[in-house]
Amino acid sequence: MNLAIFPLPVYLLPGGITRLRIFEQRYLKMVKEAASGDGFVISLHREGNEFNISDWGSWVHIIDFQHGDDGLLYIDVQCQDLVRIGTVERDQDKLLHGDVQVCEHWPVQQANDDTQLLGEELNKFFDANPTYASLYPDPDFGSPVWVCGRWLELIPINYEKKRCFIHPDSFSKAINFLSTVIIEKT
Amino acid sequence: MTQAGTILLQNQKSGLHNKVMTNDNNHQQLAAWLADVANNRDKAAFTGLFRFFAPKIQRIAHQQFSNESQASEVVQETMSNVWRKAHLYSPEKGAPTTWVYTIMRNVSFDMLRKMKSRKEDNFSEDIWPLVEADNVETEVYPDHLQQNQILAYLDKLPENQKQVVKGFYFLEMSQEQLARHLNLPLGTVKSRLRLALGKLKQQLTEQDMGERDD
Repeated sequence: MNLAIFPLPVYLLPGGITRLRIFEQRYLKMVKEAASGDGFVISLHREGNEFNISDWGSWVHIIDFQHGDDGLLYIDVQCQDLVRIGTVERDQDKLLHGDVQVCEHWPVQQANDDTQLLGEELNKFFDANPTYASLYPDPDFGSPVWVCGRWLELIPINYEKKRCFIHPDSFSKAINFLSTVIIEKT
Repeated sequence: MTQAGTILLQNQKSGLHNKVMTNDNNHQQLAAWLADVANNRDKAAFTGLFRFFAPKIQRIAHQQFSNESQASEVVQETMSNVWRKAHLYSPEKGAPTTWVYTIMRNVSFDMLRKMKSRKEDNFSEDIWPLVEADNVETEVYPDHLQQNQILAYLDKLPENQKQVVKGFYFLEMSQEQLARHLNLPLGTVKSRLRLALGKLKQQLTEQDMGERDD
């Protein structure tokens, strides 16, 4: 599968939603093309390789859009899957396109005390941050995978550190990490 | 002409001529262009504003920063603010030039502040690169619409992509926000984060490193 790639410092796990501000409305067409049907890939910026993008990304679809008071277009995008990025090319419009392959992420997890507490804390965070909460019409505080994904997107650690949580077997590490930070343990 | 200027002017066969304007009708013309941008998102009018202001801003900013690319950044940022905020200008408030130069000053101040904060945050960069320094500014935007963080990244994007996405909803919390949310002192949150990262590092070391694809 070949998709447009947008290098952005946004960490999104499956289910995660973010809002992008499109600077010039005439580029709506370009975004539309990138987004029609197959969506596009948000990849973290990374120094070192040819196009300064990471070797993985979040495959997103546009789920909503609106015109802001500032006259700009805002699009809400949701991550469906994580993808591994293969060969990347720059087209004549200087947009990046890459061959991508879907990667598995965490399998479904059983809830336990920790995941429940993390869910409650996340629920509180939603209540306190209506703008953020408005991105998610259908929050799933009962799902350990959903809750941990949102927490990892929110938690202030650098992207390289967050990278280890993209592996399918990293769920227990994620729970350990989040519990240490968020749940008080004596 | 800056790169952004080139992009903005591309595809704009506006029929606008390089009229030589006298000082007397300068203000009138500039105010009319601002009104056209505000009301009709008129690109020809914006082109007029750009041609008038860009070289002047470039010159002033160049004196201030003694650096061509930073001066270009001031032009780019100032003019995109003019495009977005044109509706906030009204002739009663004063001359259009005063208004645009005020925007330019704010942009320059922001840049200077950012350069300074980057310098001061260098010491902790190995632990919290980028994010913490930038999050200081998210405090100003209670809706988390982070506008500045991306500018640093934008520099590295291909020109067209810069124009496509110029901002994003900043998902990540700052350490201060997390501390407030958990109702804990900032120091406690910082040490919890360090502890958690320490544990994580240990787990990763214990794992066969060969499995990881770095």
